[in-house]
Amino acid sequence: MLTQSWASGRLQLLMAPVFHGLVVVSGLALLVGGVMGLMAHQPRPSTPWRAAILVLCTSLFIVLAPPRGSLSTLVRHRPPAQLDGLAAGFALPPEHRDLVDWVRLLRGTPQPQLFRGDPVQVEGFVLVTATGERHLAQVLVRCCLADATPVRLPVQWPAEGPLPEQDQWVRVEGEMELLDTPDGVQPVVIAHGVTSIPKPRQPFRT
Amino acid sequence: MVVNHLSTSWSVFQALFLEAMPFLLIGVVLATMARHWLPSGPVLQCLPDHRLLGPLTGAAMGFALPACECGNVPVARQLLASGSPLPTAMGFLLAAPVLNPIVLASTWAAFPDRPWLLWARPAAGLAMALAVSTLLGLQKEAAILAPNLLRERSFHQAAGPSSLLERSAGFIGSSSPVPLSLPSAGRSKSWRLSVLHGMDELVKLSSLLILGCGVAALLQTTLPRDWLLAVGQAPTLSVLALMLLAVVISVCSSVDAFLALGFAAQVTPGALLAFLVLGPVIDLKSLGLYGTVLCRSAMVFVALSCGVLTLLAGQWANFLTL
Repeated sequence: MLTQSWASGRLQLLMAPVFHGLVVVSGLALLVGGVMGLMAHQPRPSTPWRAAILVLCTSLFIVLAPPRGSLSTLVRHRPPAQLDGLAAGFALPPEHRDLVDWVRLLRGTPQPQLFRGDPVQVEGFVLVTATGERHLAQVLVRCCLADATPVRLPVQWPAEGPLPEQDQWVRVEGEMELLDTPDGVQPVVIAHGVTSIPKPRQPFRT
Repeated sequence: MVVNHLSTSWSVFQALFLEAMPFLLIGVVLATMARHWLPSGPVLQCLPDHRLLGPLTGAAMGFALPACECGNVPVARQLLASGSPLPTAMGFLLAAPVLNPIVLASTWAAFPDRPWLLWARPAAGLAMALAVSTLLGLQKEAAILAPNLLRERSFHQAAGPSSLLERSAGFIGSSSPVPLSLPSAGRSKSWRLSVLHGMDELVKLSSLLILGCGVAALLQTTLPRDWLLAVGQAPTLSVLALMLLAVVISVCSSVDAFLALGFAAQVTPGALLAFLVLGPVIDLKSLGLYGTVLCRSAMVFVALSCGVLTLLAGQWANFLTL
């Protein structure tokens, strides 16, 4: 199960890369231990059958049912991610800043109006907030999905065309603007173009 | 909506379980090695039985096992099964998840701007382990330890302190509850048998880990985290809320400091300390594992006393810093 999770690329959906090696080594160690156990012609200690059946069934379910959870559902009620330590991208031209760069920049500045009219081209998934708004978001993971926290930008979606669906990965092209929102005056991306993009192999930042 | 929540819970479950398994395996491997190579009697029984020195020694042993709570439960269980003194084993069980180099290093990496956390976290963790171990030491072992562990332990303890009637298992007792692989059982310590026993132990603990991860994953997706953080700067409520969050999140103690970094600015310093002290010791994921060491009433006692002591530590931190 552990090695299959790595080989199938599933670990990239579940946890930070720093833990992948540990999982793979553990899987290989379990395989070796299992082979040694099969080779040992010794009287077995009391075999925990009920526990073994539970572990076996769970392992089978994990192999057969890959994670298809909703990032939007997962992080909707979580506090915004702390972005210290991530690359800032302050020196990048506006159209080259990604979503995390923009959020860091906007959080760090006392004068967000300086960025009005700047061109924006960012990618992320559609996060439906608790109040029903659709933000563009990415998720920051330090360990695994259990500690995932959102980095999000409010977006004013184009009036024409359908709204993107929850969890859909999109590229948004537009410009930065300050708008009146229920939470006060906030930087909002005015979207001129929205393009659907495939979900990344690792759908979160670390 | 329900399907969405369930599939998200399933993803979180997989993440928690797959991430915890390596640490559980490390713990079982160390426990198996200890069972195979360490003489069960004299060496382990030389560990201090003193109510203060015992937990301190156990806590110091945490530096030799840089794993989270999943890894240290099997080792603590093996220590007890091999006859090591209760205070040392309990000190290890309760303090090692906080007092190990990886946890301390991650705390330092996450909070370089809060140097007080670097000593307050291990100090509070150690104080909690000392207090709870001392309180447990006031009880008879039969009232604390899980029945199976008690039977295994009875084989490695000197016959003196307990009467023949008190020893309800083993050569004297009614049944033969001790697995054949125990070192004392004929001294047939083949490595194959040790591996078999280790695999069986891993299976048992994995099944408990599955249950813990399942509950934690379900609560993670149903209990809104921002509700808990909404109490923000209320001194006592924030500590209680972060304690609840630590129990529910069940994230590995070696990285929980980075998780805490995300909401450190929103909560009181005491709440932050409470999250970092209680989470590594008591969480939903590891409660099942504790069942292999402690009986139910002792588990409730440990959980409640750790909760009360963490609340006090949090209040103390708030008193000093607010």
